[in-house]
Amino acid sequence: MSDANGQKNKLGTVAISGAVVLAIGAGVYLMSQKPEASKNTTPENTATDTTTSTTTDPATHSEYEDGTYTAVGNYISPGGPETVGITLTIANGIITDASAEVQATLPFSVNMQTAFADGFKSMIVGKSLDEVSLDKVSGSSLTPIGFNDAVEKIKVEAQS
Amino acid sequence: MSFSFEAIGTKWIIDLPELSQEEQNVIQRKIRERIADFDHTYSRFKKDSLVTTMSQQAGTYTLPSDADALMRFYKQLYDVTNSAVTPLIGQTLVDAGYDASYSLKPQAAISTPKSWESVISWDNPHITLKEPALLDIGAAGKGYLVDIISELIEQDGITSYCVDAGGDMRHRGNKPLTVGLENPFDTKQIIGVAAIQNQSLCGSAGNRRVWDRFHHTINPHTLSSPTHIVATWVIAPNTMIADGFATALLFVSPEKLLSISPFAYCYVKENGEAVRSPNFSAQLFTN
Repeated sequence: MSDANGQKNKLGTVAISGAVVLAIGAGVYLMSQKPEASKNTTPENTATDTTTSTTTDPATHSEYEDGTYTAVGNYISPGGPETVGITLTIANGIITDASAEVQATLPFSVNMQTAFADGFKSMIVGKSLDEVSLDKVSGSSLTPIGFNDAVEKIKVEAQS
Repeated sequence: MSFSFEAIGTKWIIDLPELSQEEQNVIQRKIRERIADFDHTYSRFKKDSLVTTMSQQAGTYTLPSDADALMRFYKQLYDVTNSAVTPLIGQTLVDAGYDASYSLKPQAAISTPKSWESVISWDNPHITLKEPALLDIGAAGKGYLVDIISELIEQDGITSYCVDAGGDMRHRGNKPLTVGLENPFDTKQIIGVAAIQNQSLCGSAGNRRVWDRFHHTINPHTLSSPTHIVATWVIAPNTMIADGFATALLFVSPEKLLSISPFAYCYVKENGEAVRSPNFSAQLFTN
């Protein structure tokens, strides 16, 4: 594995933990906002006996009907505005599952800005197009016939 | 599975794996009409386009509804690149020889573009040109058109596609796309393979449209074509951004563009060194 790939694994871990922190943070935000349930019934606004609850975690306040809730959170990373899709599963008033899906590119921490600006460097090595199996190739746009014809015409003129 | 055609001076390849041959024929017609429509407004290579008309007469013109996103993005690029990326580059390109008839012969004097503020006033959907001006939207226009065509495809309920206009592409689907990064020094080779999924990738290089001392990107401050970087690739949330950023990277360092949008990049310097951001999802070949 090249250095660049090793670096990528570390980055992936940081990005995932960042997303998880955001998921929890967004989860708390969402709970306080009473998100709409993804199923048709709305959460019941039943008062519950909270004297037996041992934490102040809003997730244990069983004001929310069991089910799966989804919402999209917005946040600003140093890399720019990002969206994250949050899915929460609630059973007996407790979040039993949470997942986050980063919907844009990886969020950047302040430390990563420098890594982004400087980038990873390596000398290029070319491989023949025949050697690698690909869906597509990207480089400069293929030129129109008119352009190539004009180049040829000028070459001819220059030689005369 | 896919069809291809020539339009706006390059080769388009459209992948629509969910569609039958007949369905592809129907959508191909819609796509080509929409491209022709776009070209009729924005192409400086067409005698009867709106852009050509605006280059002959100052005044206020009504642009189509697709203009706003492009104009606003161009202004952001203009500001962040210190006016190096400008839609007013049209006359400079023409003077250098990259004109509608491909004369490819530079004039003795090459025009310097005026400032945006001194010429253009944008109040969607109206553009006011205080003097006749030849706009060129090559830096981001193709990418934007890829987005427009992609949205046309999505309106039909299609969720799996790739729209590729000469290597500027937008992908949707549940399998990633592998894209070879063309070696700017030898186009029979690639220098690595990128993977994109539900993203856009644009590539830019100064190796094809080359004539005299120029290639198709000219720095308005130096009136010369950048040579320190010979190829750029950008992965971004949409193709307009990827396209614009691929050009902008010839003029500014990458973190300057983060204020506009998150993205990933890779570029090759004229000495053969590749520089890529940590989040550029590609394997570059090494010795």
